[in-house]
Amino acid sequence: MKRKVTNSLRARLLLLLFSAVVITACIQLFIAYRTSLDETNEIFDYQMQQMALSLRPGLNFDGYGSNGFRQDEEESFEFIVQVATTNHKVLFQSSSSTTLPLRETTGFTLFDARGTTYKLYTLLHGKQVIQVAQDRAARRSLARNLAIRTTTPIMVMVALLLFMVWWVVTSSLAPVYRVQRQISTREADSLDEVDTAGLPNEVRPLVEELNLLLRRMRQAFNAQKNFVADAAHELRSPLSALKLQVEQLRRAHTEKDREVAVHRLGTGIDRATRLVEQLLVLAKQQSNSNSNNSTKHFDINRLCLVAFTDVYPLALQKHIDMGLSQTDECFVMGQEEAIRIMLRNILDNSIKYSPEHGKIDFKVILNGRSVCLLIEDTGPGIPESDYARVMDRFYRIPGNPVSGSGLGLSIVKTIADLHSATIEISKSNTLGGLSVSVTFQAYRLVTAPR
Amino acid sequence: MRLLLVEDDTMIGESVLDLLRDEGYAVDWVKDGDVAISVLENQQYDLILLDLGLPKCDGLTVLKILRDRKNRTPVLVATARDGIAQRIEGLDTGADDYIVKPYDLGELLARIRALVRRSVGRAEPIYEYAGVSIDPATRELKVEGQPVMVSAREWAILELLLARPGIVLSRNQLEDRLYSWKDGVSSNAIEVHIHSLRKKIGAELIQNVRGVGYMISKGSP
Repeated sequence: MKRKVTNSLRARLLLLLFSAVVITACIQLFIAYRTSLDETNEIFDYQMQQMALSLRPGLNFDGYGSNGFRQDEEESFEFIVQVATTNHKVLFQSSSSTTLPLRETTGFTLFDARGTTYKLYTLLHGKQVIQVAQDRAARRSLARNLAIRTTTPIMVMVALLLFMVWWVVTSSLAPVYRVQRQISTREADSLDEVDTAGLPNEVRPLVEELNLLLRRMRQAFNAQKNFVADAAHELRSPLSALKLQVEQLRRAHTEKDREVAVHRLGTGIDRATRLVEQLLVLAKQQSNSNSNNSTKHFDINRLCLVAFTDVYPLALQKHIDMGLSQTDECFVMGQEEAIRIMLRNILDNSIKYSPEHGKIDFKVILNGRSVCLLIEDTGPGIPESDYARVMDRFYRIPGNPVSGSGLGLSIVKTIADLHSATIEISKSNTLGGLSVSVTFQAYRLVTAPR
Repeated sequence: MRLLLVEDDTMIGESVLDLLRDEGYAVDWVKDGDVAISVLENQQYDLILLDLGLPKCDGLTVLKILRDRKNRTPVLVATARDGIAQRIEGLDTGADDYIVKPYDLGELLARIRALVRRSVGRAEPIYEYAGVSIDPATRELKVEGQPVMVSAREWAILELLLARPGIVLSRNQLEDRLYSWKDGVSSNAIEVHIHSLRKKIGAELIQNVRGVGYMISKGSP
């Protein structure tokens, strides 16, 4: 759990930034508290001092009159205190040279004297007017000092906070930059996956998706490469045979040799023809997938019978016991001709690979909402490792001795895909050979046909 | 010359077999890798024509097993797969030459001749010794500049003997190189061919080493 939290970019940023803010705020709080205490203390002390100093010259304690000032004393003009009566008789004055203007109302006002501005507080008390004035410049400078001393630590803390934020963000995003570097420095045609170790949770799904994409691209790339290699093999072999057969015919000297050569050439041409036909069927079915023009519902059972009779003579030639052993009635939506071609290819395969006197079972099984066409044979089957590739165009199981175009099952798959049907290849449990099942969605009419 | 044809495609195989036999080669044909390996364990061939995509055991594996056994028989790989990487892999595994299907028969025969020639340590295409010259490409035999006609078997015997003058080949060795499995060999077939050859090119060239075999005598003029 802990690993997960620190592995999330969001959690990590929040955690570290919160800590940074809390730490700096605490320090700042402490410093501000201490500074304010010290500063206000100092100001209060200073003002007490000033007050004492300003009261000193106006007091008549050594024989001078109330207006008698000790001229030799240095005057302080920061604070001026004056007590007068409402009819302008001055009772007390801290500064001999500056007389405060009398005001009729209690409160703060401003006045200019001695080339500076004073802030004046007037208190009316019965018939007495008590006034205190303070040099505004001195006040300001005091306040400024206080403000500067309070804000200096804040600035230091802000700098510290900025540095911490920079460090947190940079170190948290480091894995993202690493992935970026990894991707930007790879070779143009490299489809290798990106390392996801140590990636934060927010970026990991992105990189994993990217890796999935890369894997799919690699598979597609390999499939394409396999296809080209397989196609080269499958297209060249019949041509190779034809070329040699023609050479043989050319070199035949006796009538018997010529007969053999012509016969062989004939079978070679048949083989090449079949390949071209299968290629055309495949191309046609693949282009069909875009236009569902001839789609309609039809009795799949009747169609199976047609496909069955198509190939029955071939089965007879090899004395194969081929039969329709289950025929559930059902309707399917699709292209009749395409499905007939598909069934023909499956049955052709079964006949081709079944031994003489083998057995092929063909079943149409209705299964609730779906209908399954199941074809099983007594042939050698397909190794499980080849299930994945056997539907690839031109793929032939290594060492397959039976000649063929390598396109039969590709055609089957293309047509099945066209009808959203699923193909399943497995080992037949009943006959021991190959079992091919094609499952369609059943199509039911509201009113029963016939 | 006895060749082993390893080819799984029936149509290609039967045509190549017949065409090579017409050329006077003794050819055995096997259709899968396993059989090829077991045949090569007991039988010596002058050349192997190997397809790569084989049942049971693919061509490259056959080649690797062959070379691991220190078998130096020339191998000509004939395949429809033409990727450069595959050619390199084939040659690096121990193939002597590579030909891509569909190939021209003339080219195939020329490559076979070249490989056989090089395997006996020759570069020149025409075998010549003591006034007798044979050209495997045109199948011409000349004695003192005069063309002489011989049968395919006689030609094959002469080619084998002329390839290494002074080396004695036993009757069994000659039979082995001249006949494939399917040819029935009568007990004195080799003697009959040698006899006929001597009449055509001169009795003194081919010497009979009694109890051992035959050779082209090095001492003859």
